[in-house]
Amino acid sequence: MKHLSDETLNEYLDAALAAAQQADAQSHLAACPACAMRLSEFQNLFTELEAMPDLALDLNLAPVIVTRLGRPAALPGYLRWLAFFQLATAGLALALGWQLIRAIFPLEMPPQFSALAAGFSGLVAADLNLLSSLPKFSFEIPSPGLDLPATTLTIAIVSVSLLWLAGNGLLLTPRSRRQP
Amino acid sequence: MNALLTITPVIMLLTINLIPFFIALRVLFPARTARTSGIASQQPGRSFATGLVNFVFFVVIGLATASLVEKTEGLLKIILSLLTILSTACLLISLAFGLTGMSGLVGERLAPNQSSWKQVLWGVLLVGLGGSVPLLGWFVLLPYAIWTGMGAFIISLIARNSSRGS
Repeated sequence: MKHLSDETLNEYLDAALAAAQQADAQSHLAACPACAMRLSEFQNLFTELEAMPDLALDLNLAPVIVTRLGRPAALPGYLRWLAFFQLATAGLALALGWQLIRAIFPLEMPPQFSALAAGFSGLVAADLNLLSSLPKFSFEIPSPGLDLPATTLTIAIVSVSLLWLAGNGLLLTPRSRRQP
Repeated sequence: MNALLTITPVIMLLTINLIPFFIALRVLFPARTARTSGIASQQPGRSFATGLVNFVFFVVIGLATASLVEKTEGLLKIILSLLTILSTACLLISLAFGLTGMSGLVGERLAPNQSSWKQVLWGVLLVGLGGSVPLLGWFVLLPYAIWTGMGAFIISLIARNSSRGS
């Protein structure tokens, strides 16, 4: 007789086997005292594991690791100074060469603030007109057509909730826990 | 009578649409649907009773809160609307997983050597077409499949802890 592997026994405990395999395992367990003993050991082990209290670690490493993970690699000092130098040089070059740039790319005078504001308000008005022309979105729960008074509906909700609690409490509790 | 007889072709058409849906669920959630099938096979009575209790609960809560939505205003209306949506979502999700599990179970018994998706295909065809049979299919087979599958799915959600603890 080939005994059941530990993996199969674990899956049997989890009810994770296919229906046919579960039935096979069940019949094997009924006939094989060694496998039944092993299954019992697993059950006891998991019961003991669940009964053990959750212990807190003495040292919490999470903040240190999270801080190190989130921190970007620091640049060498000379690179930071080089970046400042590049920025300053670029600003100086732009100031010195501004007349040359204007000569190569003749720029129009920048628009006045009032013209910008008028253009912006025109855009906003156009957008608002467009939005108002769109169909309004509304979501309504479809009516079931029950013309019952609110009291009756409330009583129905409370009754069915009590039935649901009692029914699930009875049906979903394992038999082993129901027995005194 | 004619109106009643139109239910049969509607269920048959729905069955064809549901085949890819159930296969997709089986492929995307293999462990959950397999557990649902296994529990429906091992504990059909308990699954049926659990499914019946929860089906009645979600349907009544959904209908009652939807009716109350019309009679209320403001924050209470929003809360009741959310409750309606939540109960409908729970009902549809458990129905989808439950029926996928039942289709897998039927397919597994019908064609044990076929691949998983073929088993679901045969299972959906059998349950769907069987459920389209007037009267017996509508009121016996289909409710049995729906309630047993739904109950098995709900039990599968809590079965791990109970089997470990026992």
